[in-house]
Amino acid sequence: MVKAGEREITRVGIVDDQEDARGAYKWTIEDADLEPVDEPGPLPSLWEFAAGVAGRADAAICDFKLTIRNYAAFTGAELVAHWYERKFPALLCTRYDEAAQEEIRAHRPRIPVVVAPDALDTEQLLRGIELCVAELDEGPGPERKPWRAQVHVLDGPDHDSGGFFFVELPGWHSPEVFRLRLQDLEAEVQERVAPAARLHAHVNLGAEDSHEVYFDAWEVD
Amino acid sequence: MTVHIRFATEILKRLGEELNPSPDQGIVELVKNAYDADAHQCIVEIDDPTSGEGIVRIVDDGDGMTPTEIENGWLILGRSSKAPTGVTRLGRLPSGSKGLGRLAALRLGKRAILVTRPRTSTQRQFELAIDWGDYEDAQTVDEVPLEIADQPRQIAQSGTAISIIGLRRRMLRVDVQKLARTLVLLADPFGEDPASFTTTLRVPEFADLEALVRSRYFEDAEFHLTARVGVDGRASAEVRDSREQILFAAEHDQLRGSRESLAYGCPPSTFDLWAYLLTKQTFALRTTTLADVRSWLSTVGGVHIYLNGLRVGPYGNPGNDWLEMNLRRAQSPEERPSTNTSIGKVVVEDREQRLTQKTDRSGFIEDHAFLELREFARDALSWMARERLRTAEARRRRERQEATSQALSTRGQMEGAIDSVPEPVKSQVRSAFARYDRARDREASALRSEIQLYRTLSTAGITAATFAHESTGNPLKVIGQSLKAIERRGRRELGDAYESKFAEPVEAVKRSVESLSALSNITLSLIDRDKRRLRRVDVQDVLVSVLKAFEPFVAGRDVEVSKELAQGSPYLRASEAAIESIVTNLLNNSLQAFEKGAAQKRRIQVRTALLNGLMEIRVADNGPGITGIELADIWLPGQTTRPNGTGLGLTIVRDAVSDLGGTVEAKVHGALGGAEMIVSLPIIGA
Repeated sequence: MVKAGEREITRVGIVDDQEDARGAYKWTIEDADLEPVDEPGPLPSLWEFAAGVAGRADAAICDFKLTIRNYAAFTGAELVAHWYERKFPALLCTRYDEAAQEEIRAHRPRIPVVVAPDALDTEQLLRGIELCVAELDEGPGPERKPWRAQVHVLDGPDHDSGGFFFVELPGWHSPEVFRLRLQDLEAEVQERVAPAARLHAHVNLGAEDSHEVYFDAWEVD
Repeated sequence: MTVHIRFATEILKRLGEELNPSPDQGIVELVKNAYDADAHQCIVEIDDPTSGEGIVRIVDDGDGMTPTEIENGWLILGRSSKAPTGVTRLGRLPSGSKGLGRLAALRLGKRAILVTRPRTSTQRQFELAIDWGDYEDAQTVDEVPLEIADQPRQIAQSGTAISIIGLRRRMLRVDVQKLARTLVLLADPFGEDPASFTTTLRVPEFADLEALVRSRYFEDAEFHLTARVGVDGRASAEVRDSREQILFAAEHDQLRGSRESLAYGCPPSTFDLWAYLLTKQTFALRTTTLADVRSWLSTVGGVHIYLNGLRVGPYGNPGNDWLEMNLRRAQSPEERPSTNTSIGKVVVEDREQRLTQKTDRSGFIEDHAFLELREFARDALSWMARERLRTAEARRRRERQEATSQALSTRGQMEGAIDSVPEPVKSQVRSAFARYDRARDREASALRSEIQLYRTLSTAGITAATFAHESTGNPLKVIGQSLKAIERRGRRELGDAYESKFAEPVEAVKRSVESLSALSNITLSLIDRDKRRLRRVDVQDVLVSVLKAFEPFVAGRDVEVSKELAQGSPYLRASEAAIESIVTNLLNNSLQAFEKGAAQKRRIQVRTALLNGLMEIRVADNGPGITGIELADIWLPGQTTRPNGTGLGLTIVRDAVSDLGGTVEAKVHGALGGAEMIVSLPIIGA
């Protein structure tokens, strides 16, 4: 058992579509003196599963890709974001795979911690759970706190290849270009997306790494 | 004490010549005034354009002006005197110019004289002369008095004539051509009823230019696209052939693609595009010549925008490709017209003034309404390309089937013909034909095998991408986590025995996992869809990221890579994938070369340099050089000196470089003694 804030964490759910991967996570959880709770598939609906796990575990680690095998009909990002609303701490465990970046970023306001599988060890696990609980119970830390920020659209949307558009954040410390999905925006915001458009959204400008940056609460000026 | 802000006379130069540097834009502004005054005809005459003392006259048959209109409208700069949302007596939407172009035009000469006969008075005409020399001696603009002379009318017809006398700059043939083009295109000469407002340019010296731009060759177009977007933002489109038969038609959802439910946020507009097949065969039986149509298209081609009846530049000007037709054509040349093979117009009815023109008349402000208009036109072009591709694919399949049966039938005919030849010639012909047949079979077989090679490689790539998760991602994750568990538990349970017996093999597995991860990452990275998007690409950025991705492989083969990059950030408009495939294949090539011969210390050198708008990328190695193959043959598909090589790497390099408008050459022994490849790419900037 570990204490994170006011919570006592004992049981950690494991959500991954591959049995061997769940087995490997199990050893890490055991070595952290916690109790693994295996979640073999196929999983029921997102809502039902999320509610069920919250009853048999105190936290969870969750793979991003859950739909390749016949395991779940939702992604890990959706699940962890859903748990966030229920104040259930969960780590999303995935490589920063560029192809999935946009989906993860879209849910990132409600995903406190993303950890790469090759970086996950007992210490990372405990630290990650602690961070999650801190955000759920006390609000986001400096790197996760959203600020109203201007967003410059550079290019797109390119409807021929998935409706991506590209933006820059003048208020962030680096001139990084972010690729976002039009589908993650509300219809009236979508209509504003065009090259050279200046939009506003809530962004965690304190993030150090571009993978950690999220965009939320887009505004229609 | 009451005072006023006053303007120094230099402001006339700032607002006139400097804001509207092109003389034709200024003259066009005066012609637009004629349109706003409900003129049916406007004549621009230029006398003695090349002498340096020339005169430009702009004469119209519009409503003319009263002295009050001259004083409170024509002479006021920076404010349009027209009611912005109203229409003129003839129902025209005024062009709403602010008079800055007019100032620029009037200042083309040393003097300007306005003579105007208002429609409201049949007896009087009014004359105003401006001598710019007077302003040179004055401190402020309002110090120079201007007189409006009231004169008896000499011509009954209302109208206005403006003379610009003593041109400060000689007008050359190129200036006149530009003006002729602008005037002819000003009031939609492609419409069915161009007579409502016509412009005529009279320059005796250059009469041929106007004749050229007035020509019409629409009936020679291979197909004609018409797309419309209505007041509700919903669009439709159709494509007709040269006999005006409908080939394809689409409703809003098909045009909009994935944003099908969204209306276009632009004013109601119609987009027409005539596309030509400029080949000798097409024009062989026509009365017009290929050369005429080419020349006409190069002069007036492009897609022009007409806002409320008048053209707005620079859309459709030479070099202006606002719909990116040429870039997209580079991706699919068969289905897409270019600005050199088509002519078009977008006619916009903007009564609510949703589009805003820039003050310097260099086009529209790129706001939501304009971008949606462009999106509408691009969507229509993309839809047409998709339909044409579908048709072309169906035709190709049909042709393939027909070709096989045709070949069999032709062969039968040939054998029949040989049978009819008398002996002994028959056996000689038969034997010669058999030899020819075998050679042809070999050629066909080589082509088939080449196509199969492309297909096999594509399939390998698709399979690698599809199963990246299962084949590398997931197993690597399990191996990684398991190793960590072995390490943790081994240290805890075995203590020193772990360090001496297990630590080393565990570390070796870890290193191997890293190599596998690198391979997995590079495969996924190469197929990233975003990389195939046309955009501004910093060539050196791509080069550096490819070199970074190659680091594990380079290290694994004991190769040292050095790079020397040019200053700045040279960029071009391309897909990142194109640059990546050039650099990746050149590096692959060098790495493979080392397998053929031992170098003391394997080295690859990557250098870039900028020279006269070109970027040079040199990749040299100290391998054995290009051996066992003719230098010219290295670019051919399937040509390789490696037993399991594909022979496609350098073919891809050559094709990708050629698509980007560049060149590539190879040296058998280059800077480091081994092969050296030199790629030159035209860049946009650095």
